[in-house]
Amino acid sequence: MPLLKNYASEDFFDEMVTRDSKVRAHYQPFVDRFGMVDMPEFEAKRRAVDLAFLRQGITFNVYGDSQGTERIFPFDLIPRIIPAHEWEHLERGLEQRITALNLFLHDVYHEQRIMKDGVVPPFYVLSAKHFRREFVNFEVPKDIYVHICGTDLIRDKDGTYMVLEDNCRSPSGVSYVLENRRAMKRSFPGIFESVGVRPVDSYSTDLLKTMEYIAPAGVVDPTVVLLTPGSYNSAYFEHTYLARQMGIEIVEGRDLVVRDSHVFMRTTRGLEPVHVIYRRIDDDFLDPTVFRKDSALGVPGLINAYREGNVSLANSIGTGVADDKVVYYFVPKIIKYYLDQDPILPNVPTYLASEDQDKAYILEHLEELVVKAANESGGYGMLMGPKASKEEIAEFRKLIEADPRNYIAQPMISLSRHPTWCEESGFEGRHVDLRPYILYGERTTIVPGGLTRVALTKGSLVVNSSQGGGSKDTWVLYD
Amino acid sequence: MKLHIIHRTRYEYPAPVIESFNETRLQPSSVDGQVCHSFLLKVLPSTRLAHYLDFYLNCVHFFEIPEPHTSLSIESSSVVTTVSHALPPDQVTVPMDRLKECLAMEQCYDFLQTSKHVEMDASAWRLAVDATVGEPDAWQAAVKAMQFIHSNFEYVPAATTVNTPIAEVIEHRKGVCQDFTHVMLGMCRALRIPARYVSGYLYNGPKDELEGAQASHAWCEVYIPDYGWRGLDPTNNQQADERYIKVAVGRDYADIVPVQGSYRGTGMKKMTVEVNVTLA
Amino acid sequence: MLSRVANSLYWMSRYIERADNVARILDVNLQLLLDFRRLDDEHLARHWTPIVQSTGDEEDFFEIYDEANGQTVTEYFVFNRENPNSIVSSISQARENARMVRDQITIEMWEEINRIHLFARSPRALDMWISSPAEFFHEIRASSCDLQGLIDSTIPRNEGWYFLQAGKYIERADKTTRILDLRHEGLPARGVPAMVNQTDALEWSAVLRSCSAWDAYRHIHGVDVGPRRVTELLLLSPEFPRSVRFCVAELDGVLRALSGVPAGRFWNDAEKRSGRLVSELQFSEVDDIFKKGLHEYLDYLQLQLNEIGEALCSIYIHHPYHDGFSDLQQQQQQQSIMKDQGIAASALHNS
Repeated sequence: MPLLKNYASEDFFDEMVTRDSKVRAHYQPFVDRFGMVDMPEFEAKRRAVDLAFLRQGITFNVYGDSQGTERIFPFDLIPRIIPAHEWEHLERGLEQRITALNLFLHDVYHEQRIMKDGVVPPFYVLSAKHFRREFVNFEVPKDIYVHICGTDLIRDKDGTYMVLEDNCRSPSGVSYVLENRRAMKRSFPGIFESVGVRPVDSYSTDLLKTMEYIAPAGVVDPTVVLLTPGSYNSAYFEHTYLARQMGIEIVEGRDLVVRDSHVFMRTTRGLEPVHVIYRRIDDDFLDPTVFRKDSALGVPGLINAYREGNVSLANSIGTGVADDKVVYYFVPKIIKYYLDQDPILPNVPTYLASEDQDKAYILEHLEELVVKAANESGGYGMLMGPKASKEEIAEFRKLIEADPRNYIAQPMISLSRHPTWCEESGFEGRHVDLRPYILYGERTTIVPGGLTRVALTKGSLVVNSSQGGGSKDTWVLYD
Repeated sequence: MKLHIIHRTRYEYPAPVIESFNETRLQPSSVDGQVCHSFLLKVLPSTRLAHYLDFYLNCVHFFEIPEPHTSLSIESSSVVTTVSHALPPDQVTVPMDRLKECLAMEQCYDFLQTSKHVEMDASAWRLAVDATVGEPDAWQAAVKAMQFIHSNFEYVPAATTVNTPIAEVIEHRKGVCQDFTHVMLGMCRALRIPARYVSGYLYNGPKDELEGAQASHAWCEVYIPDYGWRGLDPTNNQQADERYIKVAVGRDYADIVPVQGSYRGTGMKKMTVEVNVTLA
Repeated sequence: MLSRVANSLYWMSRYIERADNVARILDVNLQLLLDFRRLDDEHLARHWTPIVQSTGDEEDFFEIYDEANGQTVTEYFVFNRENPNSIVSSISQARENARMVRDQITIEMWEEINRIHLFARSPRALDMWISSPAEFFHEIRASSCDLQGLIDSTIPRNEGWYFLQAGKYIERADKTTRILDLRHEGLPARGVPAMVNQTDALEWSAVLRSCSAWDAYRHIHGVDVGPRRVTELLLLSPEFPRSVRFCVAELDGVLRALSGVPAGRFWNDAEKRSGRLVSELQFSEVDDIFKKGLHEYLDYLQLQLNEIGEALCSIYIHHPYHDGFSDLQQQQQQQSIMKDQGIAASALHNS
């Protein structure tokens, strides 16, 4: 099937083809074999995959959708392929980054040296929305704060990989990585075998090992549970999926109870001790005695149990300081400070509205920049300068002047593109990013590839599931 | 002054409740010259007690009572020697524009921001301007803010609740010590004077001992460069001297709640509080 | 297994069984009316009021409706969402519980519960009900059978399955007693009843049909339908699968499977009660029951079943000191108010 008929990279970095429309070497084996698949077969496979996803309930709930309906996260059958040497480079960069972030978090919740030395002005940490004062001087198991991190990577026009943002609280999407791979194996078993792709299915085992690694001292055979806000949460499917893959119990706040600073599950056999909680609930809702008092999702007394070292939480509390969009600005300096190295993976050039020089630059160049509110996620609260109306720009100007600490700006990066099947027009280039999942335990383990998200709308750079994105399988080759 | 404080909080429930988790901030501090010689916290039904120091270095005791109970009694008994840090009435300290030094100090940062109960908006700022009328000295400005509240606000119990926002208090000019302190914090912060909420007790002299239970008290501490933290009480229009016993500090009431927690069971409960401050 | 999950499975099962039983009662009784020649108000009231009484909903019912007739009663028990025992409510509750334990049930089960739930609330159901009530009831009962079948053939025999069975048998036994109780007005308070006239025989046949017991009865006793034999079949038969004795024996087996205790001994309150009830039913004779009074005996059985259900919940689901499902309350001490004397006194110390 002619994948690349009339396909051109145009003025972007294309994953599959070079500027002069030649297929990159690491895509060649795939393209050759895919060429042997005809249209009806392709259509049939696409439909089969969609149906399978729907029936299995691989869906997500969209916030703000009044029906609360479940939708499939659209899946595109053309995989994104990464050669081994490129992946090694990414792995080293990601490992460096998560190590530095964990050291930063430890410092910020203890000695605060980096703030005292002025490398990160204290004001930025103290004013971070997710800096948890209640957590200062807390000892965490194995001194690890971020156990699971999802770091978003993009590539610019020259194909350089850059870090767009880190997600250190409750990164989601790994269930799609696992399910996408299964779908690909079912759809194109022949192609898969012949190309030589590194497997991803050890993720749940590695995750479980990480959980067990951080169990409270002295516990043999620790009990790990996954704490979910419940079935109305948009990522509920992923919670149940992961729990099942790991072979652990999935619980809600009301299933847990704290007795004498130890955590237990209410079961038909009585109270069973819980040692490690993989929690997918935000800090604010974890414990009504300490955080939000109106939280019905939390467990009273949980923080005390954590404080006494009787239960471990992954990710730890207060990790949101590390993925604060303003702290992101300082990450290269953070890496240099704790590891005495230059960052292997660069940040996207960023301007901080609260630094005077940067603010002047931002206000002068609003039409060219992407402006983000420091603490929103999922793509809301954002201005796309080049695509915005005069009113939107004027509004953001006011917002920035009123609360500069809350805004950062970055130039609009032309994300790399990838051939993607589009209903009306065949294979066209669509913008993609990459979210690898990093596990930080006894060792740092990164699942090969990760989630490639694709913006399905022509010209759109927004890849989030809640705003019209889709995903692709990501193949890391053996060589 | 050496003082003895007894603080009793009692909850009574019409039907047994379970799974009670609580935190208390009742232990008087031993900083800045004040010395807490002894402190005992008695909880009934009896249970294991533990503590930790929070971000503002307040000593927090916590405990749980899982089994069904119909009453919870928390009694603290402390002996404290207080000191006075009062400044002479017309003390001149530093000019207002030196206050910008505080912005860089970590210890002041939190006390210059909007916090849960102290929303800084135009009404607090206007009040601050009215009260201080271009006063050039930082300390005197804070004193004027305190005097303004005392003269213009009326002490009316039950006019407000624990959640009344300061904009409302400013509008109606009525409240209790908690509200006056919040308003003063709003005014000082609008003037860029770092200001924090202090909870504790006030010894009113032998007269009160005879007239029965007193209460917890709340006042303000402001930070003046070169002079440190100094206490001002807008409810009684005076500096915090040796009659004031400090227990906890924070950004506002939410950071120092003397007794708080959660339990499962009936929402109806009766709470009684008794405070007794006497000479030791 | 999590207590919350066990709880949901137990109640899901009870609600599915409940919907089925209510459908049976209404279906049979509607059909029965067609056989009557006199359909005056008094007769209708006499026919329908017991049905309302049987579920204990008399008070609530008469707050909404003025009289008990075919229309009001069936509306109350089929579509009324305020009535927690109506078919629509029961299905709704079953679905709500199923949703909370979706990973414990198969996708086919979920799809079927969802389907019948959507159906029951749709205009199509109302239309079907108006044009052909029998078809409507058939739809409900078929769905219930489907679900029971799916439970039997797809759920592994683990703890969850036992809770499903427990819910089913408790509900089934309870509803059988209520169906039997429908006709107690026509009986003497105590003493073995005499032979019945044709009208009454029809009513007792309806009782049998409500329990799908008509064929079984005919097989054993032939065409003469009378209260004594009906009662014997529905309460004491060790073979008929909807008899109370059969259900309680199965329930007892399920409880033992949960606790692992062999027959003849008991480990908890629920088993103690179920064991005792099984022997009681095993060694009773129908004439003894009538001597005591059928209605009273049925009340007694309902009470026993209720207590077994509660004991089951309190042992496996609600633990001592727990009612995890009650509301979380906040408590905080506000900084109290200074008494006026305090202010006056401090005025003396004004700086």
